Amino acid sequence: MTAVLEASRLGKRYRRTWALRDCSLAIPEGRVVALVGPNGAGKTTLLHLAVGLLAPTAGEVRIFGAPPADRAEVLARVGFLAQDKPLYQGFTVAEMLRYGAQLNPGWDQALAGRWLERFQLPPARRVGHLSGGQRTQLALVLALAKRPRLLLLDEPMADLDPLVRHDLTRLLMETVAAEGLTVVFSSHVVAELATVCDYLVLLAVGRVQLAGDTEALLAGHKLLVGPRRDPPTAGPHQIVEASHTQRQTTLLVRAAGPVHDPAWAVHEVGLEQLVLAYMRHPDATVLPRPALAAVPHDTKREVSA
Amino acid sequence: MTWVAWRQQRPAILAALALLAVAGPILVVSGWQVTSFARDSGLAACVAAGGDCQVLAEALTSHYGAMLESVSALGALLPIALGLLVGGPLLAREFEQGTHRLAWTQSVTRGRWLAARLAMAAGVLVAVAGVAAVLLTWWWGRFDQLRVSSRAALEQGSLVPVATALLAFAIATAAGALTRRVVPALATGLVAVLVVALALNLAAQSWLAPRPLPITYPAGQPSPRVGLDDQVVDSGYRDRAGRDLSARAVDRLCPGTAGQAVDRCLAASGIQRVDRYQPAGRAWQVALAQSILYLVVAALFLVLAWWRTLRPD
Repeated sequence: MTAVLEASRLGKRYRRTWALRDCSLAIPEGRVVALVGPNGAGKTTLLHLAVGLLAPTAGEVRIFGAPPADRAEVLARVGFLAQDKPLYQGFTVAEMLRYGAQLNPGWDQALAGRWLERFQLPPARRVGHLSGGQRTQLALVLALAKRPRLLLLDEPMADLDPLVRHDLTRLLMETVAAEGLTVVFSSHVVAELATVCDYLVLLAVGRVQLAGDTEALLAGHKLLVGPRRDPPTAGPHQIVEASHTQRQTTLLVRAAGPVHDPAWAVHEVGLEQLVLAYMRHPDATVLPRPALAAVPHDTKREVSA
Repeated sequence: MTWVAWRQQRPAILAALALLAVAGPILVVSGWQVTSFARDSGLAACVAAGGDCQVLAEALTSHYGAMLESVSALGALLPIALGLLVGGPLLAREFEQGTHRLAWTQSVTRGRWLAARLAMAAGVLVAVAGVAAVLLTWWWGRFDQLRVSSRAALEQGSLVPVATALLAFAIATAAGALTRRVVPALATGLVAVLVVALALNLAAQSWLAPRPLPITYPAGQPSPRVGLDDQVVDSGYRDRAGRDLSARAVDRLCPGTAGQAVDRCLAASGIQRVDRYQPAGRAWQVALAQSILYLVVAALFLVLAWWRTLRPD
C-alpha cells in the first residue's frame, strides 16, 4: 500500500491555540476519502498543510513521499480547491481557463471544455457575475483540468443545491474511476459523502479520532439493542455510545468479534450514524493498527459477550 | 505566465493611465500658457537677447506663482501615486480575496510566480512613469528656458520621477505583503513613501551629492549668482567677525519687517549672507545620486516583500 498523503505527528499552532495536533494518518492511493469533523476540527488546516500553503509547527506531512515543498513537480500532481473557491473576480470564465492553461503544463483544455459544457458555464461571463454554485463548478474545473493525481477539495459541496451536488458527485466519481486519482473531500455534513467515499478520516478538536476503510469501519461496529442495562456493559466490545429508554438500552459498539450474547439484537450501523456517534464522544478513538489489520478476518477468537 | 501577469496587472495599469490622462493635459496646458505669456510679455525675447530680465521674470512668477507651486507639487506626487497604484494591490488583493491559495497551488513555484508578477508590474510602471517624466521635463523646461526656475528643478523631471515611482511601488508592494489588505497597504504605503523619500533626499544631499559651494555677499543685496540657474541648498548669516548668526539674531539687530531700512541696517552692521549652492552644471549629478539611492532602497523593500511572500505561514 502506497500512501499518497501521509502525516506523522503533524501539528499546527496559530499563536497559542493548536488547530491540529499530533495528527498521524496515511491515505492510500486511489481512494475517495471523506475528511469529516465538526467546524473548527482542523480539516482546512490539514489540507493547507498538505498543499504547502501552511508550514507545520510540529511533525511532518508528505505527499507522494516527499514534503510538499514549493516544487513545481509536486504542485503539478496536486489539485486543490480552497474552501472559499477563490477566483479572480474581473476575469471571464474563458480567461480563468487560460490562466489554468498557462500555469499548468499538464493542462487538458479538451477536458476543461467538456466540463464547462456540462456545467453550462458561459465562457464570456465574468467570474464576479457567476452564482456561488457556478463559481464552485468553475473552481473545480480548474482543479481537475490540470490532471492531478491527488485532488484535495475543501468543503466542495457547501454552496450547491442538492441537484447540482448530486450531478457533481456523479461526474467526479466517473473521473475518479476513469483516472484512478485519489480524492480527499472535507465536509462537516456526513450525508453528502456517505454514498461516495470508501475511506474515512474523522477529525475531532485538532486530532484524528477515526480513520480507516469505510467498509471495515462499518463491519467493525454494531448497534446492540437489548433490555435496559445501566451502567452499560458489553463484554470485550468497546462502547462508543450508549442510550437508554425506560426498558431498553441501545449501544453502538466497536465489536471485538462476533457478538454472541443472546440478550442483544445486533444491527448494522450506517456511516452517518457511526460518524455522529464518534463526534458526540470525542474521547473514543479508532485508528488503523497494522497489527490488527494483519490478522485475517476469519481468525477464531472466542468472545462471550 | 506572461499573459497571466499582464492580465492581472491590467486594472492597475488602466488606473495609472487614467491618472496620467488627467495630469498630462494639466501639465501641457499650463506649460503652453506660460510660453505664450512669456512671448507676449517680451520675457522670451529678453532672455534670448541675453539682457537683464529680472522685472519681466518677476512678472511671470507673480502671475503664475500659485500655479507653478501647485503643478510642481503635482509633478512630485504623480510618480508616487503611480507607484502606489501599481504596487499597493499587487499582493494585497491576492491575499484579501484569497486568490493566493489558487495561484500557489498551480504548477508554478511561488518564486517564479512572484518574479513574473513583479517584473511585469515594474516594467509597465517604468513605461508609464517614463511618459510622466517626459511631460514633467518638458514642463520644467518652459521655466528653465526663461531662467525663472533652477536647473535642479529641470533635472527633477528626468530620471527622478521614474526612480520615485519605483520606490513608491516597492514600498507599497511590501506594505501589501505585510498588511494583506489593499486599503491599509495603500495608506501605510503613502505615509512610508513620504517619510522615506524625505529621509533619502536629506541623505542624498548630505552624503552622495558633491559638496555645495559657498558664496558670501552683503546681506540685503541680491546674490551675485542670480540668474545662473543654481540650486541654493541652504543659506545663513554671518557677522563681521565671521560668526554664524541665526535669523532671529539678525532680526534683533535690525528690527523691522523688510524694505530698504532693513537692508541699510544690515549693510551698516556688516552682516554677510552665506548661501551654499549647487551650480547648474552639477544638477544632473545631484539628481543621479538621488535616483540611485531611491533605487537601492526600492530594492531593499522588494526583498522584504519577497521574503514575506515566500515564507509559508
